[in-house]
Amino acid sequence: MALYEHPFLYRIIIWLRSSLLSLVRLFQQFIASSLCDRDESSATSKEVLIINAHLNKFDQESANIDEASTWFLRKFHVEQKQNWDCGVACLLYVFQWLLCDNPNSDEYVLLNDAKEEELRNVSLRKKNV
Amino acid sequence: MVLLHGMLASNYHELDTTQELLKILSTHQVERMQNFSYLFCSRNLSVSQSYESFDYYKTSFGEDKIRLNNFFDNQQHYFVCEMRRLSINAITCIVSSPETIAIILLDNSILLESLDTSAHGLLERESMSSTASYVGHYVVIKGISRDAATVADALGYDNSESFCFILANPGSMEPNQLVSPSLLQRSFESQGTDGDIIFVRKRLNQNLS
Repeated sequence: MALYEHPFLYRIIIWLRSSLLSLVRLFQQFIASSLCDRDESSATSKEVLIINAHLNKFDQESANIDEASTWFLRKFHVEQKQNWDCGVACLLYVFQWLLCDNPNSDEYVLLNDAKEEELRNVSLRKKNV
Repeated sequence: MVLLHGMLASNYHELDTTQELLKILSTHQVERMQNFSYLFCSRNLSVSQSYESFDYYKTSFGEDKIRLNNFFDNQQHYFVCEMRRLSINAITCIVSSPETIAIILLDNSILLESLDTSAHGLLERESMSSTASYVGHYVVIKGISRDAATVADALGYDNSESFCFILANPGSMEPNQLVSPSLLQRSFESQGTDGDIIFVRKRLNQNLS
């Protein structure tokens, strides 16, 4: 008995076949998407691990502020003027942040008046030279 | 602090002056400063020749190239890390920690695209060429916020995003500038930044105990 002699049965088999193929495709997409997410997540974790490992090298010894500020200034100085301006402003912000005891506070320690006066004098002395 | 920024910003060619200013700042308060470490990450620890045609570098590319290559040749490498890929997700993870902030190099032309100058009071827009292809600009990532109202107020806000970055932007009058992750990602991954970012981590009060 040939299948084409029973159109109803034939249609059911075709429908089952296409449904099965759709299911397989959906499953493949699901697996691919999961693997992609996992790869992305895994790559992110790796990046975080690398950076944390570098930053935590200094567990026993803090970076030296003079060396650090010299390095930062050199880094900004070798770049364009525009980068120097904002780079130094960012560095000063970082210094204020390092002076702040409470990490959740936005009220970072500001320089006192005497300090500003002293810095202003240095700037004026340099200008006069 | 605004005064200091102004003073320092005008001293690009007077590195000695700035170093002296910072030395005073650090030596006077160094005992109060907490222990810290820092790490400079970049996709490229040399100068890419492809930048030669950038508007931004056009006038001084040769000079900049020599200076940058000397810098990378001579420095100590223990706080430098070349990372071909650094995702915004990884940056988010790291700066979510209260003891870590980051100085990040962005393409300001992309950041400014989303900015309404009257609402946010940015200073730089007027001085920027409207045809500039890339404008390097350092900002500090102070952390992130997941507060719904804050997130909705962020530059480049997309309602699919559940958090935003809090920046200290030297070009902005606001103490906290809110920026969506997608906008920060676009301006960070723009060609020209090289993915430059400096993480700074302080060790909270461990040295005081």
